[in-house]
Formats: sequence, C-alpha cells, structure tokens
Amino acid sequence: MRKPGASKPALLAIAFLAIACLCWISSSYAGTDFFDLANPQQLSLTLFASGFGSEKYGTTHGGLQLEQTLTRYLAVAASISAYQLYQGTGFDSPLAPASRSATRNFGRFEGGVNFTPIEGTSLAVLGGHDVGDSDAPVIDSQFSSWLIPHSLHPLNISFTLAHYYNNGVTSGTVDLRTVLLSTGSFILLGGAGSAIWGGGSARNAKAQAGPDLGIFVRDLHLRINLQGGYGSSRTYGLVSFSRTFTWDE
Amino acid sequence: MRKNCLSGSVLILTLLLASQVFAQDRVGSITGLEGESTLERAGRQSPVALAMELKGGDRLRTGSHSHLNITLADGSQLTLFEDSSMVLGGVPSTHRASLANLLKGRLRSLIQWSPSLSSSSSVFEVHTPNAIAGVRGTDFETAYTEGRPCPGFPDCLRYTDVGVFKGVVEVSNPTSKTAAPVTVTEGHETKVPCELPPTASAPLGLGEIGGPSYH
Repeated sequence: MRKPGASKPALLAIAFLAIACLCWISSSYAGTDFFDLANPQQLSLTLFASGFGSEKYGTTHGGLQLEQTLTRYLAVAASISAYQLYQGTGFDSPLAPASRSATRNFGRFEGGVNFTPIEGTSLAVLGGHDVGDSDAPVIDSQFSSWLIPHSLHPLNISFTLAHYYNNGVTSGTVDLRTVLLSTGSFILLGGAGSAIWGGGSARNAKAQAGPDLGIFVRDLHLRINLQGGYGSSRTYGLVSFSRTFTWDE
Repeated sequence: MRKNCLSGSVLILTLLLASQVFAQDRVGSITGLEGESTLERAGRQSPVALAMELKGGDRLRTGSHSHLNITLADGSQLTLFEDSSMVLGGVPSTHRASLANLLKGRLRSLIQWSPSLSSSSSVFEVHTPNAIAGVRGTDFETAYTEGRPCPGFPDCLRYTDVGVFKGVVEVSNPTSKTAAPVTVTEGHETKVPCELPPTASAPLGLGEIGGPSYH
C-alpha cells in the first residue's frame, strides 16, 4: 500500500535537515581540512542483528553495513539487511497490517553518508529500497552525540528517523543513556528509550517507551543493547547486537 | 703468580664493569615488526630489523601501514603504531624510571609492574611535547596529535590522549601553569590540550558507541 501524500512531511523534514546540516558544515569547516582525504583511509564492516517482541507483533532483522572513509569527517556507507515480521505491524515495519498471522519477509538495500563533525557525534543518512513483501523505497537517518564527554558519566543522546514508502509510516526513536561503569574490558550503559510512529497505515500516532541497558565489550568491539517497556503494542522487549571490524588502508 | 692473579682480577673486573655498562646502555630490542620503520642512532639512519638491540637515545620512526613491537630489558612491551615517532630514554631497571618520548603518533605500553615498587613513584613514563604519563599500572596507550583541532578545544591544534586498560596512570602537563596531575584509572582516559591541564578522567572509547541501533 503506497500513500505518496502521507510521505511529504517526512520528506520535507529530511530535506530541511540535510540542507541545515550542509549550511552548518560549510560555514563551520571553511578553511579547515574538511575536504582533505583521510589518512589512513579506513574500511569498516558492522554486522548487526536485532529482535523485537510484543503482545501484538514480533520482528527480527539482521545484516551488514560497510563504511568507507572519505575525509576525517565524512564516510560513505552501504547496508544490506533481511527482515522478518512475524505478525501485525509496529514502529519498525514498512508493512500494512495483515488480516492473517503469517510470517512476511523482505530485504533492504541502502546507501548513504555518515558525517562525524566532532569526535563522538555522528549523523548517518541512508536511503534505499525494500524487496520482497515490502517493495518500495525507504529512507532513514541516525544521529548520536556524547554530551559532557570529559566526565565519569557522560550522556549519550541518539535519534533515529525513518520513513517507509510501502505503508507511508514515519517512525522515530529517542534514546538517552549514560555510562554506569567503565572498565578495561567493557562499558555498561543505562538509560531510557522511546519510539513514536504514525501516518500511512498506522494512522494515529503511536508510542512506546522503557528503560535501556547496553554493554560494549572492548576487545570484541561488540555492542549489546536491551530495552523493555510498554506502549501501543502493550508490553514489549527489544534486543540488538552489533560488532564492528575495521581495517586501515 | 701474584701478578697473574692481579691481572686476572683486573680483567674480570673490567669485564664485569663493561657488561654492566652494556646492560645499562641496552634498553630493549625489537621483537616484532610490520611494514617499514627506521632507527636513528647518533645521526645515522638504518632500517629496523627483528631482534635489533635498542639503546637509550635511539629514535624510532614507523611508516604508514607499519608498526613495531619493542620488548624492554625488564620485560615491558611497547607497540609503536603507524606514522609514529619516539625516542627511547633511561634504563628500565626495577628501581629506576625509564621513559619513552613520543613525538608523534600512538604508543601502547604494557609495563611490568611489581607491588614491591613504591606505589608513589612511577617506574615508566611516556613524555609527549605537552604531557607526562607516569605509570603505576600496566597497560595504557598514549597518542600525540598535531595540526588538528582538539575535540572540545577547537582553538588548540596539538593534544595528547592517554587511555588506560589496566592499572593507574598519572598524567600531567609540564607546560601548563596549573599543572595539576590527573589520575586515570582502568577503563578511562584523559586528554591534554595544548598548555592546558589534563581534562577530567572519562570513560575510554566512547567514539565506538553510538545509539542502540534497534532499527
């Protein structure tokens, strides 16, 4: 189900965000090494998997993202992932609600840029196309920044914004976390996260929220995140894993 | 006979002194290398080779895609990463401080530490042009960057990062007027911008952690 009209506000928001970022970048980095090629260049591979379960529906997805630095501040990224939706619909789904409870699958191919204006702050904007049970364009962006970084308990704020052309749904998440414990082998994070989605087949705005727990294992470059809470899908749980491999070129 | 004994004693004493001098002069050796690196000794440059012995005052430079592993005489291990330069100084004995002058790039230090050593004195120090990292622990990394804005201090174009994986490292800036040292514990790091004191200790490696990525 495509509802082009429903996507206009999301597209305008993303276009405005991109133009604002470009204006800010060009004024902030005039006369600096922003356009100098990174030395050494870096290629990174991130493997990721996540699962969502609630009283109303469940999803799993996994894939990989390749990222190649261009300058110290800018990298290009390409991502391939596979999604499986067990039933219903929700914040992370481009599918319209089905009358039957059947598993539906689709793949996602995306490309875009990752901008790192300062250490600890990044903005990634990716766009692409779904194939399979969802067969339409998709666009999503992720922002993350560390606040008060020179302290024992810095604060991480992250946003995601996605628009699924297949069902016209726009979805956003916000997570606020702090470092609870840092040792030589891992970092433990705690905080709270929420999601809000609506438009298209979801119609009215829906939301969910709950506490977040994360762990980063230094030696393995492995991130594990957990969230549980309550919202429009009633009680829910989220888990995600990602591991990054990096090569200097 | 007495003359022979005397000559023998003098010879043994000379050999002992010579070996002592040699032992003090030799600070370690190259135990691993990848890529191309150079050693500068007394104004002469030569390529670094495996098992090459290192002396105080030696200057080591690594090229791009290169790194060096150095084992000091006391068993401590240093890794000099790519595009880096350091000068070895001092003698690593269990009762004297040894040091590495990091002039550019990144150095990881895995230091042999004994509880019998005084906890108030450092047995190993890494110096950069604007920081001193004195070790009372075992495993830490120092990086000196020039020509790039220091994160959080955009007007400063040279800074030192010290991250600690094990033990405790005391970091100070000898060029700072208020050179209050900062104690950095396991899993934490500090940044030393230009002539400013080190920043407060903060969790190490936050750049590797972003949002939870549930999408």
